[in-house]
Amino acid sequence: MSGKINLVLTILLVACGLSLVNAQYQARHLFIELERTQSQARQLDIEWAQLQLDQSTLGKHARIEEIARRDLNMTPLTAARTQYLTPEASK
Amino acid sequence: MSRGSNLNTSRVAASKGVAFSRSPVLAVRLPTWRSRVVLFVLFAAFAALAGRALWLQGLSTQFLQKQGEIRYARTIELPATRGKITDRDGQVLASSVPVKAIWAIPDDVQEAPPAKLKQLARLLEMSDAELQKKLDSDRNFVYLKRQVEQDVADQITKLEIEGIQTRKEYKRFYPQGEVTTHVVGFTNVEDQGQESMELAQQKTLQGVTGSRRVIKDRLGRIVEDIESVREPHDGKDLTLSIDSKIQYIAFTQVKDAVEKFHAKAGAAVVLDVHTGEVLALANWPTYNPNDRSKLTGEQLRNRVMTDTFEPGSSLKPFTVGLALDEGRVKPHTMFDTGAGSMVIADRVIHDTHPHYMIDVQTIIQKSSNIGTSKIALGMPAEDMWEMFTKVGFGQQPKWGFPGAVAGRVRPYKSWRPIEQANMSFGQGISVSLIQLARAYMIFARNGDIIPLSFQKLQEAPHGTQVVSAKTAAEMREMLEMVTQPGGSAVKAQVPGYRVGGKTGTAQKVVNGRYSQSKYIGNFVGMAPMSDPRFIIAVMIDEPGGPVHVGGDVAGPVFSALAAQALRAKNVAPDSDLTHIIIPESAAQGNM
Repeated sequence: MSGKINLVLTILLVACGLSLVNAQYQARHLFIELERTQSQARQLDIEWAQLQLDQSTLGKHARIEEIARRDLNMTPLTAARTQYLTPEASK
Repeated sequence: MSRGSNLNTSRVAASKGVAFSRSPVLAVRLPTWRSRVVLFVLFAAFAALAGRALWLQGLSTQFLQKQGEIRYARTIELPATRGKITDRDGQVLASSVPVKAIWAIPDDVQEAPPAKLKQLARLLEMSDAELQKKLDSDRNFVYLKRQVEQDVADQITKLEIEGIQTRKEYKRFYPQGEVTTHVVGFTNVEDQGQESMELAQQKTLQGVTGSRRVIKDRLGRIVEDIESVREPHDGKDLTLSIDSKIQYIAFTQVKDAVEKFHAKAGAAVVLDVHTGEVLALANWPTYNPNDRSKLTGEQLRNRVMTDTFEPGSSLKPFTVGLALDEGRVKPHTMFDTGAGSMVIADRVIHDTHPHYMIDVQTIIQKSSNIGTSKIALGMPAEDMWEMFTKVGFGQQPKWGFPGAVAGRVRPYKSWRPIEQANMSFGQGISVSLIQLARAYMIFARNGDIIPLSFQKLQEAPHGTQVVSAKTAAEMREMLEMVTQPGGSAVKAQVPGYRVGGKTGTAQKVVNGRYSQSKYIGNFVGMAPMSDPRFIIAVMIDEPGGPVHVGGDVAGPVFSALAAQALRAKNVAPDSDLTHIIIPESAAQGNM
């Protein structure tokens, strides 16, 4: 009788041991995955900062004005050439 | 020999099926000391094992565990980025991008093949000789180049030269360059703020680097954290009160004016009347914060904040406002300014034109020195001093901007009458342009003054009442007259909007005397007059041409700046006037 219990317990013990090994292995894999994703997030953050910089550089008022004047032949607006519309409600 | 024969006999015996107890081997009588020796040796071996186990487990564990950890555990530095600086609409004005510092261990590099070193020099944009010079060092650590961009650094790493290492660092970029630099400032290679807001907000902008202990596997992948992670904290982003659009307008106007009038320098500042936020602060000359190799002190100077000057007539409204507030004069009280000169003690005060009998409104409109002096001399010096102090003159500004100066107002007890008169029209007192602009708040608002802010505010601060709302309204009326026909600054008019302000022309003090050729022309104004939204102050330093009075050099700058700023912010026009014809006679108005 006790021999049988011992056998069952031994098998159980080995199974537990193996599942522990497996769990640890899985955990490490997931951890690596997490690491990779986090570093990707950091990389994207950097890229975002870079893009914001580019946006600011390309959207510089000096550049816009130059292109508007030179390439599009635009001129600044003056009050004399502006028609102001006032909605009735605000009067 | 005998043992060998014994073994043989026992094998023979076993194979022949002889019973164990009757084995001849047992019959052999050995001396008892031999078994004792074996027993002792066995015990000794076990004792040695136990001792070794004790030694490893108990006494040298720390050393061994440390050695083990060195082989799999790594400390990783977690970098933190410096916060961004943005304008009030979120446009980036300063941002950090990761770059690499290239450093070398000179002794190791000396053995590298010359072809690779040539390539390295090319990537670092240096001549071979320059690189050699850097490598000819006794030190163990030499920076070859700092703040190298990531892709160049990658190419250098690919060369695989022994002794060449890289280190992660950050480089600060300023996309708006010279336009915003006097507000934003810059950092040095160590990412420490050096000027303006970068310096003022260093503590909140800078990040705190974190670190973590990890286990790495054979392939260098991180598999586990050993200790709790010390999280890195990125620096906080800073939202300035600056409006990029108005800033650009102010910058181009100042720049154009300095060139047009052959001036030495120019500056302008735009304030939000409702919140006290600084919307624009421009200087010329300026510099590019991304390339500071040829930086001079002249370019670095922030004339709005750190230069004080004698403002001249733009100080008159404070004396007149005080007299109105105390009920000493009314807007239509008449004063005799005579034929353009007045003697106080042994000194003579001049007006540029004779005005004879004029009222208080006209004193401001025509900017009469004699009229203002007469009003000032009717008041105790203490009251004037108090007024100047309340609006911030001579007071150290506390707006969180490094290098802001207090200006100078002498204690009233030492004022002589001539000095009191001089101060009423802005001589013998020095202020900075931003102080002057802020002081005009009492007229633009309803008599109160609020602190300035370089950061975007969620709600407007509470003001301190200086003069009554009635006085402020009366003063606004006079300031508007200044820009109307007959006033001293008709060139400050803005088509479509009612504006008001006051010009000032100060002679510069050279070697303790007033110079006859060096002037500072300034104009402080507000717009639109029906509900002031902006205070705009302009200063042109040493205009070199024939035109030098404030109304003629700073007035047009104000006009252009206000017109574009009002339009940019969609402020509805409050005047039907869309064409402006400046009368010939008024264009020659005085200071």
